[in-house]
Amino acid sequence: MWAIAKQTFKAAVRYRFVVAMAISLLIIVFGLPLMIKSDGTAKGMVQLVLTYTLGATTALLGISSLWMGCGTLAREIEDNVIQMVAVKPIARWQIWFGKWLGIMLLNAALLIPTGLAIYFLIENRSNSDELSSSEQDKLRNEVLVSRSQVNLPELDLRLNRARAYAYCKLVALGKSQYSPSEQALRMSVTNPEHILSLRGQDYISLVEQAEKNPEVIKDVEELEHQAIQMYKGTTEIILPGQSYQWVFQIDTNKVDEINKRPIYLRYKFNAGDEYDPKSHLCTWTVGAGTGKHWPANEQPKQITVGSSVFHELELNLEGGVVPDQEGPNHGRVVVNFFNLNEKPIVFLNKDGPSILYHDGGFGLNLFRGLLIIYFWLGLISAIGLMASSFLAFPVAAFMSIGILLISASTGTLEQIVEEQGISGIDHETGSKLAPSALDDIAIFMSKGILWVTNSVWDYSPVDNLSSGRTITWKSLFWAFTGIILFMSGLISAFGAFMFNRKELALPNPTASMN
Amino acid sequence: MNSTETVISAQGLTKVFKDFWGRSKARAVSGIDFEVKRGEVFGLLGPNGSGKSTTVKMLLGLLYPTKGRISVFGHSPRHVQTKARLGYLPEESYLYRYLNSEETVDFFGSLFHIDSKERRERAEQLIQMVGLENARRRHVGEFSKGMQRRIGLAQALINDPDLVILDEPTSGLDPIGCREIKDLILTLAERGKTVILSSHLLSDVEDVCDRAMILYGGKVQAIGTMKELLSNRNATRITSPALSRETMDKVLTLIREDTQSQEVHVDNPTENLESLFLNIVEQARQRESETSGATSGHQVADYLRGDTNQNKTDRALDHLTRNEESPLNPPDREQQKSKPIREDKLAGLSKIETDPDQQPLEVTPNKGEDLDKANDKLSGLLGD
Repeated sequence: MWAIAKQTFKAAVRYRFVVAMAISLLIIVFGLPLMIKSDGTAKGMVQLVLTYTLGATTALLGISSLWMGCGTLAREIEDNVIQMVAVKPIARWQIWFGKWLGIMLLNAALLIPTGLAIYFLIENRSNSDELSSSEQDKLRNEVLVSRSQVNLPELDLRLNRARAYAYCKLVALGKSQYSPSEQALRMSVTNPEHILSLRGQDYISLVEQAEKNPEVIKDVEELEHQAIQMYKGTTEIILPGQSYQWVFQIDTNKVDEINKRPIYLRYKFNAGDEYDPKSHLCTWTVGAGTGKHWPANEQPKQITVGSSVFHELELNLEGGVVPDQEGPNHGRVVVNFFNLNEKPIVFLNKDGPSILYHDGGFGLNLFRGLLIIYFWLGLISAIGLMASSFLAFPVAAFMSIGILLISASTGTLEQIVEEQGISGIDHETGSKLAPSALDDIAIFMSKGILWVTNSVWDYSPVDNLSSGRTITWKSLFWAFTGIILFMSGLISAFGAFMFNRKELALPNPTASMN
Repeated sequence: MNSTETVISAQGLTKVFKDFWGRSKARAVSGIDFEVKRGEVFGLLGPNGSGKSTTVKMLLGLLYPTKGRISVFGHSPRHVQTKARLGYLPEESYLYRYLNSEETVDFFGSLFHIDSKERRERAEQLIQMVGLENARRRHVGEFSKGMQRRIGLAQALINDPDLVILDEPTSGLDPIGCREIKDLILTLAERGKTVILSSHLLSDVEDVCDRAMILYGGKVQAIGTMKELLSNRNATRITSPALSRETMDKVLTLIREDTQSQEVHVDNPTENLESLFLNIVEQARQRESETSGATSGHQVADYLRGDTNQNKTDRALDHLTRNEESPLNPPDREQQKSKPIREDKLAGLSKIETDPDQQPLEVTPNKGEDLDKANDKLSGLLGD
């Protein structure tokens, strides 16, 4: 297998593919920064350089991996060269994995110098005498750093029908005194179940009808869906004049270390609609009720910033912002937002907010980020090789590109899941116009594809690196497990299986297997 | 035959090529049965499209039978460990064009898990054996067809295989190369190796094979030993020293009386074209030799002869162009050389054998239409 890998690598070198790629990467690393126009700040510039160079490197190596994946096997099959290898004492799956290893060797040979070049370029820029010490500090604290992210706990969106039904019945009784079992039920209901009880009579009636008439089950599900969405809305939408509080629990063992440096509140909001980029007034206080108030003057911090993009608010106090006294507030960072605008402000759950704190240097974070990119390249190579295991080169390339495009275009799939199918929605009532079995199939398939694509693309190392956020070892492990072991493993198994079945000496490519 | 061990067994072997929709397109091989024993040189003969290459590729596990069974050393041809005992030279060069000779042999050797030192030694011997020592650093893509055949042969033998499958091995080779291949086949057979020789060149098969199978239309038309296949029991040939006219008349009269037939022919034995050509080249080499292409006159690699002692490297059968009277040459090959192949066309040419001062290029004067044809063939061989 190692011999095949070396052979694949040698082919790329001898055909000058490596030289062409190296020149292209040099242009990306050293040429792109010359063309980028930033917001004028050193931080903005470095963020853009990181985003563009890493993004372009990923794209270029992704395309080359796909090309190599499709070409190295398909071409050897078409030229019959593979026959000479296949008659030697090496299993077909070993040939397949040898090819994959060879492409990964090539990717490593290109990615490692590129990563080093990016690192030294950025370091050189950040240490430049042209930057003031405050700009350098800002760079060191906000971009060229590894900051851990503390997120809010996941919303509990569970809705158990039996429990919701029982709870609705209990509420409908209008009791003021409860038996122990009733009290236990009251304490166990989730927020969506509680919201459902506001339409208790309707729900009870529909659930009882559904027992006799299965067609009514759709209406029950619709009501439950609305309850869940309503609960999500209460956690995301802050109406004019209202405030909202988030509580972040930071690892108490790290509080002393964290308090030595400023921490950051990272947030993004939408106003009006998700794509409205106008500026809005944001009013913040941190530490209410914990004894650690920020700002120190205990006045709310007011800033006007644009919507639909991420912002960072530096939380800096003498002695740190995170409560460090033993007790219930130890490690709790309480953040309050006041909506003093005339429009609702929406903080989508998927976008945070979150707290960032320093936990390491940029170099190691870049290394982890490059490893995730490397895993992606492994998956792309596997897709190319899989396609070329049973298709001719042009068809294999077309198929692989198609798979990548579909996996990167998840908007439509998300919409199908969100709108509960592909049939239309009556926007006045919010109910489906003509639900059918096709909706169920579309939802099932969309969820499946989304699950697969999200498990691959959710790691976003470029975004993390340009915003100075830590790519944890844990996320690296899961990226390896998800992208390499699971996804690439499945694709490789299928590819190797197809290659094993393939008759390598068929007289022409249209002849089929027996 | 060194053993009765069955190396290859095929029963009812059938291969039908189908199109994308599964419809039959061509029946390349149709229910053939054959066995090959250890140590045999087995010929697969047939015109183009007769199913030879398809059969070979099923033997190698590159094509899967539609029907029937095939086993190699008692296993499926796809059995990985079995492949360690195989060497294969395809009908065309399917090698990596960007590798040089050494790298090619080394790469294929590495697939047999031969350690690097042993691999280097074998590669060196093989490259010398196939006459590419002057082209060891040249990329295979730059090679002529003949040179590609030579390096193809070298890679096929890197593992000292027990079964060697050669598909049109002499295609594109000059006559010296052809002779060397045949010598090699015989040497391998001497060591108990089994050789499958697929060819449409009848002389190749006739010269070296113990048994042959003739295919046509994907079916076996004839199978047997060369003697069984070639002997004509309705005719007799007598070879003797030159006879006087009187003796000849007596003999002819006697034969005509005995056979009651006028169809009795007398002629002089002539050498075949291959022997003639080799003699001419040998003479040229003795005068002067320098070439930038493939060379010849090399020994079979030590490990292929089962001979690790350098002192034994001058054994017979190393090279027939140098050692025509090797004791290991099978006696029937001597008879074959004297067989009157194309006697009418070569009668004139044979005269040069009696004139040692004749220059090789003067062998091709215009002596009639038949001679022109013979000369064209000779020129083609020399020019390859």
